[in-house]
Amino acid sequence: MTLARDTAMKNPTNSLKRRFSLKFLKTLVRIRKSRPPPSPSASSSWEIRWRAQKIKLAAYSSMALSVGSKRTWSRALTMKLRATMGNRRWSSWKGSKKMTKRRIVAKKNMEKRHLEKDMNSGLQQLRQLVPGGESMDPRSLLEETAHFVRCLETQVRVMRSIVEGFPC
Amino acid sequence: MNSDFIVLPTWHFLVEATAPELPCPVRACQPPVDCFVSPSFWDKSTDTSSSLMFDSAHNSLASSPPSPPPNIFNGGSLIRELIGKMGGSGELSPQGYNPDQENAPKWGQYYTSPALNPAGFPDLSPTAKFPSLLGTRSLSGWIGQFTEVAAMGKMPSSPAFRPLGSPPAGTPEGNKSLHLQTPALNDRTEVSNSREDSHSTEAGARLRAEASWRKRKPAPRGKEAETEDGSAMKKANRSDHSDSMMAGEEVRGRGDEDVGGEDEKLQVKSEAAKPPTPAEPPKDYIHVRARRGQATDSHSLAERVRREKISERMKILQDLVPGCNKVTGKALMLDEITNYVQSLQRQVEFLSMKLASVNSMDTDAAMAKDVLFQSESGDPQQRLPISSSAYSADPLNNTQFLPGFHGGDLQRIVQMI
Repeated sequence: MTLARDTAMKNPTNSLKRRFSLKFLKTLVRIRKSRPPPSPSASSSWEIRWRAQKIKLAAYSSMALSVGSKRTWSRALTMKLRATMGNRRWSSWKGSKKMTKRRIVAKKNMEKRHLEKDMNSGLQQLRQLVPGGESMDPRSLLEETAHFVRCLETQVRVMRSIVEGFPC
Repeated sequence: MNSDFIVLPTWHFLVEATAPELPCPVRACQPPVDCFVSPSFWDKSTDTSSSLMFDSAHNSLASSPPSPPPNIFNGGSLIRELIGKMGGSGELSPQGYNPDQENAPKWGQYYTSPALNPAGFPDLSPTAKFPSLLGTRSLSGWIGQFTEVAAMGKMPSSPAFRPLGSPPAGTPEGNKSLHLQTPALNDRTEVSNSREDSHSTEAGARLRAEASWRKRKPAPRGKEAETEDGSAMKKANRSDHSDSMMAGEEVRGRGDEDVGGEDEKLQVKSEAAKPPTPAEPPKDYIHVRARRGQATDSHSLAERVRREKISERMKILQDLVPGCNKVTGKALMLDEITNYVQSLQRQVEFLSMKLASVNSMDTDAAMAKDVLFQSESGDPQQRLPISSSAYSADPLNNTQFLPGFHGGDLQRIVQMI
């Protein structure tokens, strides 16, 4: 693949931003409407923290949904989020099983392959950060990281604009 | 027995003669099979237009491979006619050759064994075309004469030598056969077998031509198939080395434009490492040329390709992550990238916390459905990592904030995105 093509592939266009913004805002509205579960210590800070976590999940899930299944990290992130949210409907997704098997096989291949020592630790750290990165060869891992970074930047930008847009 | 008719490309011999006409010269003669075998007969035929037909065929090939039928190279009609004559069938229509029954099986036999083509023609050799000739030892002499002419330059191997199985149809079929052979990589093994036979005869010149031919045919399929053909052709006609001459070459050799042909060794090495790909059809392999002063075994080449791809990706990441330009080295850059990703994730978390605090204040729920997004107004620099403490402090302060937030305000806010 040429460098130009790689760059084009990794650049989420404005459409991604818009998609993400729409989804995110809709989720925000829903969250705003929702009420935290009643707890013994109903402190506002706890409530805020609970909300913050939901918002964070909403941000990641809306980002993953906006990206779709084109990217490995988005797929992995989607599955992880669904597992986190404990939705039974999604836990029995066939795709997850396939991915797990593939991931295990890929992991084995990774261990066998001899990587440069200086890169190994860095790659390992990256694998932990990028969702679905454990079972990727270095080349695709870097590719996924680039795309992930771009999407993260978009996410941060949108959220920041929303926050700053509030007449504080 | 193969050694007898190995000298295949012998029919080039006809080209050498100066027969300005393409029409099937053999028509004039209705010799029995033996006649063909005798060299004298061929001398005569060469004097006639038969030689010319090759010549013109050759020329036509030079101009455009898929030339009209009266071109042996294109359709092999002339050859067919010759073959027909030799087979004793007498009449050969330019468009269709109907070998007599006794020859048919031989034809099929030869056709099935591409190895028969010592000169490298996949399956079309005069011997194949003239099955009767094969049986006779005198064919060798006849063939010998042909080899002289073989140097005409281009081996219209594919077009001229269509599979026996297919009824000769002229140009379209010639081309079809050409196409048939083009992807026939498996012909290589068989052709290589025939190559050994060919070497038994005029090995020296053939090898030389073969080597030069190989240079022009970097594509794997051309390696064996064309070497034989080219060798014979080259022997006859050294002047014409242009690939365009050969119809078969054109179809197959489009990929060898980039091969200067000078560093055969390099080509062989790269071939050993990774089969080079012709320019036109997409191949699974990537043409990797071994660099000067570097190891050329397949493993190191693959390793190098892998490393290059990884470094390619690293460059892209370097552009993404701000401040990575000064960092050199893969390890440091990976650390930098990791830090950046972590900071981005922390920012998301912090912003979500902030949003949560704002959300908790807001009671208006009617919004976001009619929001129109416009181009973002955010400062690109904002994505730079900000100390988490600063962010974490804000939500605490914002708890005091009671915004009178309404749907209209949110619309305005979103429009700023």
